[in-house]
Amino acid sequence: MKQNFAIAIHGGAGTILRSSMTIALQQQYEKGLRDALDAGYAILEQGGSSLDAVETAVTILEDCPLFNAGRGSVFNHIGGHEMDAAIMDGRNMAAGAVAGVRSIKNPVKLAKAVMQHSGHVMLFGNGAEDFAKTQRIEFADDAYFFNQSRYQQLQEALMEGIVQMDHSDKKFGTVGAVALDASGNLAASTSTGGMTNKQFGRVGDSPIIGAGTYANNDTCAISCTGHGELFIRAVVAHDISCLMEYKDLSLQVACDILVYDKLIKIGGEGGLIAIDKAGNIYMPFNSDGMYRAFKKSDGTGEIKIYKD
Amino acid sequence: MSFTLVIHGGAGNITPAIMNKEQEQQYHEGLQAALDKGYEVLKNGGPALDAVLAAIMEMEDNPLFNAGRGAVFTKKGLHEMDAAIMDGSNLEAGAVAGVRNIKNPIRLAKEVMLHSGHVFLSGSGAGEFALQQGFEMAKDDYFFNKSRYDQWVKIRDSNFTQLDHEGDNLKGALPDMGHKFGTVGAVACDVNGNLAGGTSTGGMTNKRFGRIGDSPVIGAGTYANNRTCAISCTGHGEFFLRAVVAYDVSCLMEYKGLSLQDACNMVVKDKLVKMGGEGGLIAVDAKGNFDMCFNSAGMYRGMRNSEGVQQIAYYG
Repeated sequence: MKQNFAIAIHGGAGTILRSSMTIALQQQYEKGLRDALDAGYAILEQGGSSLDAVETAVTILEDCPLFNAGRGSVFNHIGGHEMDAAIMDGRNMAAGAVAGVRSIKNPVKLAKAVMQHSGHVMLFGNGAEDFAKTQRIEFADDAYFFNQSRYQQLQEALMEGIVQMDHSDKKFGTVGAVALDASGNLAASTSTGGMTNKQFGRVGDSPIIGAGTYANNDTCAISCTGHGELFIRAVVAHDISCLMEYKDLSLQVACDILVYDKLIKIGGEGGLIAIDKAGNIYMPFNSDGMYRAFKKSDGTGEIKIYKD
Repeated sequence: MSFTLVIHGGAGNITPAIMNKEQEQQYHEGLQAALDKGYEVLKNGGPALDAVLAAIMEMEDNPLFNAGRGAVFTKKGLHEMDAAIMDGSNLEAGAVAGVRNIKNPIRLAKEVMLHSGHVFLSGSGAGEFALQQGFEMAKDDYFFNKSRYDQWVKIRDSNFTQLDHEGDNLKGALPDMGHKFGTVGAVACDVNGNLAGGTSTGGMTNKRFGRIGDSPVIGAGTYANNRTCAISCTGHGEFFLRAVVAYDVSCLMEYKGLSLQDACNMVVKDKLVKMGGEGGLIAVDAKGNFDMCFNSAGMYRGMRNSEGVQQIAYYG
């Protein structure tokens, strides 16, 4: 019997309510998620690797201005864009990550190049951009990242003197993907523009292996979105893996402990997408909503935004 | 009430063959001074967090260790330092990566934890935060050290990076140095049973591309949790990042019920060895049990506790 395969993606969690969404906008988000999901799924269907599937799905989400990653990245305090991304291959626990990179069209591709060609796991800032130049990574100018609504967010945040988690209230703009391929390998990737008006070279959980991103063939692949500081302190993605490996918990039970118990106790709002080696998918969040979708080789799938 | 402090000054190919008596004496004095600083805090009933800070600052100020003043040179001839600190009593954490001209990166990491609203700041942005918080900047010459400079000059035109002193692929280039991962760290258990851990490093000689190792990454090089343990790592950082070493030790204790020592052994002497990850770590639990575990030839290490036990050692 052929091994099953599956992919799940997210486009961020937070205060995402029906009441603050128009039908037209909702359809745009759904299309953005579907495009990424289908492209990642197509790779798996053709026998491609989970690593390539998550890279492709995240690349498409980065290219969509609706999501806070790549092209749609929020503005930082000085009106620039500083992006973080990570990717991990559950087959051999290889990992690559970048933090605070500017002018990189697809940070996830740079993270993959770090994993495969740098001899390192994590690069940041100008140095990471220097590395990108040695790897034929595509750069983009400021105009590519300019987005009127993001710019408006920055002006509002500057007026209020606050650091914002993407959009108003609480929305944690980040994108991510996890997948299981037909060879039984797991992979995970996360990419983000971080917080609107962020300062001081702040790094969240997305590019931290074990916090926002983790993959291990023996257990699971995880990509998180939420209040990054709390996700770092709780080492969320690796904790789920350890609960499965050392306590023999199921993917769902392990995720529930993190999202609905541990994170809530420390005030950590957000969610995650998770897949295990059997192809089970779980997408829990403790915020109002999370842009999310999955598609499996058994024909099941969904694209959802709100709690219900 | 009992208390315990454990410190390290890096692991690697540290053998009697590469050390003379004078060097042994210098390291002994450096480690002793750091132990004494942290011990003093704990003896006076101070928190583990402050003891860790005091011990690490002492080593950052000592040019012998690859952290703070003794930080190695990057490819561009600069000093880019990483540090992290974590409070096991509330799981609060602070970290900085790639900071320059900061005299004591571990103190900046604590400031990030207490006053930034964030956990992890990087590069020039972290420097701006330091200025805003009134940190004094040290000039480049404060970090200048002849032996570090010579170390760098020998490989700066290559694309080799070097894990402080080292190496296999550079035999002959650095006769005085072995396979040595320069990093400093401290973990402590205070009289109230609170744990804390901290790590500080200058990273790899000739490093480029803004490389970040495991030291400033919470869960990888640094972790503390009163329920389990406090950990500070030193070694080939890329492997420690991928294996999420510090948190893995904690999870083995919490979820599998392993003792501190069994958990450390499993990660350092089994998991890391299988991946090819050379290095070690120091660990303490809330009962004051401690471990100094490494799979390399040696590790500069020391401990001192309220029972009057003290150890300082280098070799395996």
